Parts: sequence; structure tokens; C-alpha cells
Amino acid sequence: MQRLLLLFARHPWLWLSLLVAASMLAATQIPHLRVKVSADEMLVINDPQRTYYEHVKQVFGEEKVVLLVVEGEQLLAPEQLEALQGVIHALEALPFVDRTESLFSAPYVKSVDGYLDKEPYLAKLPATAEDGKALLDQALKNPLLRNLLVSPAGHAMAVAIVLKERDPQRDDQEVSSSIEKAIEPLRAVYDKAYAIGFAQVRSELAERIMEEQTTLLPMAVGALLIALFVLLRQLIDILTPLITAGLSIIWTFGLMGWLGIPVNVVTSTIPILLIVVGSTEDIHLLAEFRHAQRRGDNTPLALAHMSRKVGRTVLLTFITTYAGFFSVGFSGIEVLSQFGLIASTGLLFNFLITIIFIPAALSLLGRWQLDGRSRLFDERTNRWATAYWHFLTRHRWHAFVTLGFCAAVALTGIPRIQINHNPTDSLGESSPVAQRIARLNERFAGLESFSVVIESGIQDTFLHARYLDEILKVQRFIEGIDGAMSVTSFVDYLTLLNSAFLESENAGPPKTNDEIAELMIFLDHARVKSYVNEDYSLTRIMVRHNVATSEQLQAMLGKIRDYLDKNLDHGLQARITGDSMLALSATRSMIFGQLQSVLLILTFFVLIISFLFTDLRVGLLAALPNIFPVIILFGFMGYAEIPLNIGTTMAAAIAIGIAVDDTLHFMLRYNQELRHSKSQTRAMQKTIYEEALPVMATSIALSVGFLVFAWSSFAPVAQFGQLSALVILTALLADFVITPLSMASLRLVTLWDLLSSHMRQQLIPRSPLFRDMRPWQIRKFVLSSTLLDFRPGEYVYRQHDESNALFLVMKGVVEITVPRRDPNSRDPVVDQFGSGQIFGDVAVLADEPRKTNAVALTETTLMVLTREAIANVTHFHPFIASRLFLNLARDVSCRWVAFIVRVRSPHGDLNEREEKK
Amino acid sequence: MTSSASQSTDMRHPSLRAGRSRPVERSCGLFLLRTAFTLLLLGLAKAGCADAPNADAYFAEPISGRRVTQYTAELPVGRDERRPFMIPKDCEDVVRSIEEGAAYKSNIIERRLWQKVETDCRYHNFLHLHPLQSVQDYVSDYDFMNARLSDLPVDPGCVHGGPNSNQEQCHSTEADAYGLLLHFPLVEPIDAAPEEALGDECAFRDGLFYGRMYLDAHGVRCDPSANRPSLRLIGVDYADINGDGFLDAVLRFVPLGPGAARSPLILPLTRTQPTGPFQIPAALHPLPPGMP
Repeated sequence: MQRLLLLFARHPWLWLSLLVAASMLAATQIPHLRVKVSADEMLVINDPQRTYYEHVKQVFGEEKVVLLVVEGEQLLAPEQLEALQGVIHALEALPFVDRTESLFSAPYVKSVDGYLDKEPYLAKLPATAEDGKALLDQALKNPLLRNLLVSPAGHAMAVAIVLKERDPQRDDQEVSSSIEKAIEPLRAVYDKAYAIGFAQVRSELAERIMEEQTTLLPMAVGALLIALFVLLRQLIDILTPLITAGLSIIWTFGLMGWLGIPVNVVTSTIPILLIVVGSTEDIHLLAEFRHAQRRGDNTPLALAHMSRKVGRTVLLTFITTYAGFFSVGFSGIEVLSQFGLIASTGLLFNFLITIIFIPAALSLLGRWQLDGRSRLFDERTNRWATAYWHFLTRHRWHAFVTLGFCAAVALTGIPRIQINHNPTDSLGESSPVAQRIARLNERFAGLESFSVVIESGIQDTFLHARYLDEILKVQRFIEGIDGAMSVTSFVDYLTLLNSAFLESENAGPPKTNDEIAELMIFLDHARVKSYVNEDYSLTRIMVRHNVATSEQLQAMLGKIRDYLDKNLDHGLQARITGDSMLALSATRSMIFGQLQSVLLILTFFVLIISFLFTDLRVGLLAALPNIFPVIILFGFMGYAEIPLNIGTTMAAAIAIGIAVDDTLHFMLRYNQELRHSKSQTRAMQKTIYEEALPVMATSIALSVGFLVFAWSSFAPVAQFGQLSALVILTALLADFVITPLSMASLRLVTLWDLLSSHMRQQLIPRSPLFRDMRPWQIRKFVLSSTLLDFRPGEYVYRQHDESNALFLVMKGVVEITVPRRDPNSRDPVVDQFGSGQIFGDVAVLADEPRKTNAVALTETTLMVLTREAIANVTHFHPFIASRLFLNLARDVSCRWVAFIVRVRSPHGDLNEREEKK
Repeated sequence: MTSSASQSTDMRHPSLRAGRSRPVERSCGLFLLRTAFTLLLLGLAKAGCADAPNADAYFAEPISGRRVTQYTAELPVGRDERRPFMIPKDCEDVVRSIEEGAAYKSNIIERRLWQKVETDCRYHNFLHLHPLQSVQDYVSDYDFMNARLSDLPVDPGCVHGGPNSNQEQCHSTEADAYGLLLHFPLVEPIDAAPEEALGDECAFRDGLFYGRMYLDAHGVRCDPSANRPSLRLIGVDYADINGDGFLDAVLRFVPLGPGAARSPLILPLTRTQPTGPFQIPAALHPLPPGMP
């Protein structure tokens, strides 16, 4: 990475030209970019519930409609009806409209002279307003119309516009605007006339999000720039994040245009994501460059310093963030999957552009500075860092208790979090669509729907009175939960028919199989297709409701499920499906997906830190400053009654990505400093000093940028802004309080760190003990050993000592002798060991007391591997242990062979050899 | 199953349309002259002669339920085979299909549809048992849509559980062979009626009978305060059903109100003099070929 950064700095014009060329190429594809908001994209792709719902829709037809609502005192007066009829014809002529359902088409089932008459209610327009009123009263008696097409108070009437099977090319905005245009004439004759449906909701959501993007995004960028200017005071440093983000956006949108991937509600947030997340790396790189400049380095040296210090960190933080967003690409929801893949690709582009642009631009313009004076990197800052660290260590318990208390309070708020899948709630009270929905909900049953599908698998089941009773029983139970809902079924149509036959409004459903059979020959299946299948083995109870929150809906569905489980005839199987169910499932999936990506980012982070410090505890402790903001975030949401929805969970994911970046920078810097200083305190002070500027600069600037969104009139955007700022500021606090304190609580300066680089890189890897072992495997042993120093003539061990360790000579020479009985004669020397050689292993493996003496001949340093340490490695890392034992066996064998050779030689005894010399 | 029907603008029988007594409509142009001449000859006697085809009966068209004089029903004649039958034109084919076992009834609706078509054909055949030639008409001028119950032949023996109940006698007539109901429906024993609710003026009003009927020693009485219809006269057809030379009126009722059975109840009536109560026509034989 370091070399790569320097490569880009060495040929700046070449790389900048390539960047410009690639950006121009990408820009040519942007005009192909489409904007599309679709309902299906919001659902879970391979959700079995969705598959089942598709099957149910194939049997019963589409249940989603757009409602045209007219309100007024004279709903059915001739003039109004003529206008309405004209509008209905215009609506039916629209290419995406399948049909309309209204009093103009709904059959008025009645008896005329003893024969059935099923002409629609408005087959003939009533001559007077009074006739119209009488007709309306009749319509109100029809359960299939009351609350659905005619308001119970009689002041509002609806036309259900059934759209054709979903056309992938169809756009909600096109649907909404065409319908709005068609219904315009009604506004002159009715008090109110409006169209409302999910197409309108989605359309407004898309418009609002796009609007916010165009108004608030520049403001956020402006605020970010101001904050950066105040903190950095370098024009090039302020413009660089914007340039790299701008180019990344062009590349990303260019790719989307080229691949034909449309911009949707979620992917429209990618520009802000690239500005926000992408700028952190820029600031860290620039800060390091400026830091070197302040020390007096010229541009090439400052670039080299920047590459060395943060090159690897930038790569690692990119990998973490990339993995987090890429994981969203595996989401079951198409729109989120697209977001994950595009956002991660955008971040990859941003990373490439950053590592190319910054060294190249700095090599050309790095010397030019707006303000030569350092703001933060000076001696005063260093003193502040030292003073801060002392203050923190003095008050560590206060800090822990305060933050622990905050976390505990926040934890109690988490159970209060509401999950809300209803997108209309996010529109706000001033939204025309929200107002229409509120009016609709006051007057009718609502837009939301679900179905209870009951199946027997046996033909004609639902032509038997017994099973009609079962349907009715369930229907009555659901009605009992919430009287404002509309609960309709096939039985309602049969009841209407029966009432007409018996000329009695209170006839009720047919009571016997014969009566049902009699009625069935006068029933057109097309009329009840939406309630029962052709062989009458499958039926559904359709529920329209306006239950807003997911919790309420879930509770209601739970009650229904319980009832079905306990009370439904055992021969029948019931399943609940519908838009509401899919929305619930999608909400769950979205939230789960977002939390999953948060978790993945944290896991990556823990792994990277653990690997870096070869200690899982360090990784886990380093995660604390990132878990803390998440706890605070969810606790705040619970107390502030901000619901968990797609917007707020996105905030958590994005913000945690930034927070993790900061912590990663902090930890990697600490790791570097630790290697140099060998002192945790000094390393921590240095880290605080070095990282204060970039981390604080990015955090404050981004928080200011995000806080601009808090002024949005669109709730999800406002919540997104507030929560993101909250998480970033909390993460900043955690990075400078929790991270240093938790790191200080661990012993991170290990034996490994204390070894000289010659020992680490040359001596140990070449020792026969560690032959064919990887560095991390060697490190495992080293970290579980101790170092001992011996003066010349000092015994390492003596004969008959307990053999509980083997030794690796790090420095000096050790002589092995066999003690003679005669204390006056010199002990024969068996062997000598120098740097990198091992001894004392035979007795350890044989589990025998020492047979020899081991004496240091010079100033000697030995690495001591105890029997216990070996046993631990054998237990926890058998593969490493097997390698170790193989090496030991090989070494002992070699020494044995050498010993035999020596014994057979005339002067096998080293003492004699020495004497001869 | 599909059906189609032909229906004129107002195909109701004149007596139903006007709600007052009218003679049987003739297709022949000379009918009115003949009638006038006969009336002239017979003075005030309201007897008429009929030599034109029978008036078409009304049916409820499958699916739509509309009142039609003919309809097409597409009926299953095999597992995957359906055939359109025009009723009443194809009634012979219908009967033959049923007799030969070609009527395919794989489900409740098909079974019930075959049953309806068969019933409609049977009724059509019933009306055409005898040609209407030179019949004496003492019935068509009566306004059955507003019939007084005292004019109808309510047989005390046909009252279930009534003091003079004699069910065997009630069903002795051969008309039962046609599946027709010859006793008046919804008549209950007197002791079932609330005393204070009984009135004497029992009549249909525009084809609807409100309240319930009761029978005691003085004849049929009813509850005039009841405002819920319990019986609907859905049609009056004219035919000489027993070939005795007197025109008969065939009334079809359906009970109304919760729990009522929808199948039409058929009451043939005749009169052999211009005034007086109606009687159930005498022996209805022989059975026409093809009738069940």
C-alpha cells in the first residue's frame, strides 16, 4: 500500500489524467440513468411468504387498488354522477388500469317481482338527489361496499381503480400523475376529490427523498466544508474530500447508467454516503501529510511519511467498511441488495480515487498552503494530549461509571423501541398524501390489507353450510378485534343473494347445503373470484384496515393465528397473507439485514485488531467504543420514540461504519506507537496527539453535515440526520475515553515487543525449534515464554535439577558438561550451544531430572519455554505443537548423530580437545 | 356454466303487468274480435275460448337470475365436454340426456343446475300437456296478484298438525307425480296463531303476502299487522293441465323470509264458472311421454 501511494505521487500527471479520463467516460453514461420507485423492490426476494402471496394473487387476483374518493353532501346528485361517470371512463382508458369498481359496476342484488336483479347500483342514474340518497342507503347495507366504497356516514364514496398486473416498466409517479389528471373535473363538482393508494405513497416518498437530496445535500456539504475549514484551514484539504467524493459519485452513477440499474429511494442516498464515509480517509491521509510538513519535511518526505503511517490503516478501514456495505448486498430485499452492491462498489471507487488523487495532488500542490500555521499539531497540542491522558487516567473510574450509567440508561430504553413499517407515517402531517390517507382512514376501512386464506383441498368444501359457518366464525372474530376494519368473504356475497331471494334484509347466510346449492346456480364465479377459487376448496377472508404500527399489526395477526389454531375445523388449514404480511416480513428483513451489517463491520474490526495485537481481548475491548454508540443510539430511539425503520437502521449502519473507521485509525496508530516507544503510556499520549486532529475533524465535520438533515420536514431524513450525528459524536467520545482507558487496562507490551528486531526477524525464525513455522505460530510460543539473562559462569541448571523447561539461546554461549565424582577434575564438556540453538529439551521430553550441568560462558540471554507452556500450546494448538515436536525430534536426532560421530572420533571429549589445543 | 336468455322489454303476463284480471293473451289477431263476439254471445259470462299456443312460462335464468322465457344453459355432458341447451326448446334433449345417464354432475353446482333445467322442462311440459283449443276460460280475468285467500282452495286436511289434518288425502292427487305442490303453503293450525293478531282480510298485495296465514273452522285467517312478506307469487301461467276443456291458472309461489326454502311451490287452480272460489283441477292424467 505504501509503495502504491508513492507510485501515484511519482507520476501525478499521468494518474490525474487517467482519473479525469475515466471520470469523463463515466459521465457519458450518466444520462442513461433512470429513476424508479417500485413496490416489489421493497419486498424480500425469495421470501416463502411472498411466493405464497403470489400464488394467492394468481387464484384470487390483485388486492391492491388506488382509491378515488369523492366527498360531499350530494354524492349521487345527477350533475356529480355524470362527472364521476366521465372520470371513470377516462380512468378505464388509462393503459395501466385493469378495471374500476364502484357503484357503477357493483351489482345491486335484489328481487324484482320474485326474480333476481343484479344490475349495478348506478346502472341508471338517479333522477333526483333524493333518489340518489335512497340508493346510497341501499348501498350502505351491502357489506361488500360499506366501509370500502361507501363511507358509513354516507358523505364519501370511492372508486377502486384496479391496476393491471405489475409491469416492470411502470412507474408510480406516472400512475399518480395520470390519475390526478383524469380526476381533475371532479374537483369542480365535489367538495373533495382525491386519489390515494400505495402508488401515491411511494410516489410522494420518492419525490420527497429526491427533493431533500437536492436541497439538503448541498447544505450538508456546505456545513461539512465550513467545519473542515475551521478545523483544517487548508483549502486543498477542504476541497479534496469533495473532489474525491464527486468523482466517486460520477463513477458510481456512470456504472449504474451503463448497467441499466435505476436509482431508487435507497440508492439515491449513495451520494451522501460517499461524501460522508469517503471523506474520512481523505482527512486522515491529509492530516498525516500536514503533520509531516509541520515537522519540517518537504513534500516527498511528507508523502513518504503519510504513506508509511496511514497507508495500511486506510486499506484496512476501507476493507472493513467495504465488507460492511457489501454484506448488505446479500439482503433478501432487492432494493437493499442493490444498495449494498452499489454502495460497496462506490466505496471501492472512492478508495481508488482517494489513493490516486491525494498523493498525486499533494505531490503537485502539497507545498501550497492557505495558512502556514499549525492549528493542532504543535507543542501545545502535545501538552494537551499529555494533560488529557493524565486527567483521564486519574478519573478513569469516574469516566467508566458515568459512561456505564449512560449505557445502562440507554439499555433500559431499548425495549421501548417501536418498529414501524408504515411508510405514510414518515411523510409528516403536512404531506398531502398523508392528509388524504388520514381522511380515508376516518371515512373508510383503510388502504392496508391482509387475507386469511382457508383451504381444505377438497372440492366443493365451501359450498357446505358447515364450512361457511367456519368462515363466518373467523370473520366475526376478526371484526371483533377492531370494528373499524372491513372484513369480507364469499359468505357475504351468498348472504346478499340469499337476502334478495328471500326478500328479507335479515335473511343471513344460507343455512343448509340445499339452499347454498340453490343460490349457486345464480352466482357468477367471476363475481366472487376474489374470495373463493373455482372448485370451492380454497377461500379467503379479506381484511382492509388502517393499523399503522407494525407492533399493533403483529399483535392483531398473532390473535388471529391463535384463534385459527384453536378454533378452526381440523379439516381446514388457514394461513395469513397479504401486503401487510409482506411489509412486516420486509421490515423484519431490512432491520435484520442492517443490524447484520453493523455486526459484520464490528466482527471485521474485532478480527483485524485481534490479529494486529495477536490478542482477542484487545479486539473485543476495542469494539467497546463502537458498541457504546450503538447502545446509546437505540436507547435514544426508545426514549425519543423514534421508530426502527429503514431510515433509522441505515443511520446505525452508516454511522457505525464511520465510528469503526475512527477507532481503527486510533488502534492502528496505537499499535505503531507501541512498537516504537515500548511504553503504553507514551504510546497512548502519542496516539491521542496524532489522532486528535483527523478523528475530531472528521467527526465534528460529519456531525455538522448530518445535523443539517435534522431540519428536514421529512421524518426519515430528519431522524437519519439526528441519529447519525448522535452516533458519530458518541463514537468520538468513546474513542477518546473508552478506547484509551480500556487499552490501558491490558498489558499490550509483550515479550515479543521487547525483543529487538534482529531477534524477531533473524534469529528466532532461523532457530531449528521454529523451523517451517509461520510468524504468528512462532509468536504464540514467544508470547508464552520468558527471557532470562545469565552472567558468565552462571549455571542455567545443574545435575539432578527438575527438568521443567527447554531453552533457546538468544544471545551468548552455553556449555553442557557431565559432572565428575571427583570435584577436582574438570567436568567433560558434552556440547556447546550458541544463538538460535536449543538445549535442555532431552530431559524435558524424557521427564527425567537433569543429567548434566548447563553453564553460561558469556553474557547470555535465554528464552525459556516451560513444560506448562508447551502443554498449553499442545492443548490449544495441536498443529503447532506437532510442528514443534517434529522440530525437537529432528534437532535431538541431529545432535545424537553428531554425538556418536564425536564419540567415535579419537578426541571425542571436548575437554580433551581443548586440552590438546 | 354459461347461459344466455331472450327477453322482451316487458314479457310479463298482462295479468301480472296490470295487476288486474285480464284474459289470456292470444297471438292471433282475431283473438280480441273472437273474445268480444263470445262475450256478446254469452252475455256477462266471462268464459273465453282459446285455440292459440300456450303462453310462454317464465324462468329464472341461471347465473343472472333474471326472468326470461328461454335461456341457454351450458351443461356438462362428460368430464371435459359441455353442451349448450336452450330451454325450453331443447327440453326433450335434456330429458333424454338425464335418462341416458349423459348428464355429467361432477360437483354440487352442476348437479343443481341439471336439476333446475330438469324442473324447468318438467314445468314447461306440464303446461303443455294438453293443447289450448276451445277451452272455457273462467280464470284469466282474476287478479291473482291481489288474490284473496278466501278465493283459494285451502284444504284443511293439508294443514300439518291441524285439527282436520289428513296428509294422505292431501297428497292423493296424481299431480304429485309431477312434483307439484297442490296444497296451499304456509298454513298453520289455528292454535299456533296469536288470538289478538288475527284478522279477516287475507289477501296478496302485488304478488306479496305479508304476515302468516292460519286456518280455523271459519277458514283462512291471517295476521294483518305483520309487515314482513312471507310468500311471493312469482308467476301465473295458463294452461289446460288436465285436458278437461277449462283453462287452468298455474300459480308459482316462493316462500320468503329467513330460513325459507327457495324452490317454487306450484298451485294449479281452475274454475268452471265465472265466479266463486277456485278449485284444484281434477285428475291430471295421463302422464305425458318423457315425464319422470
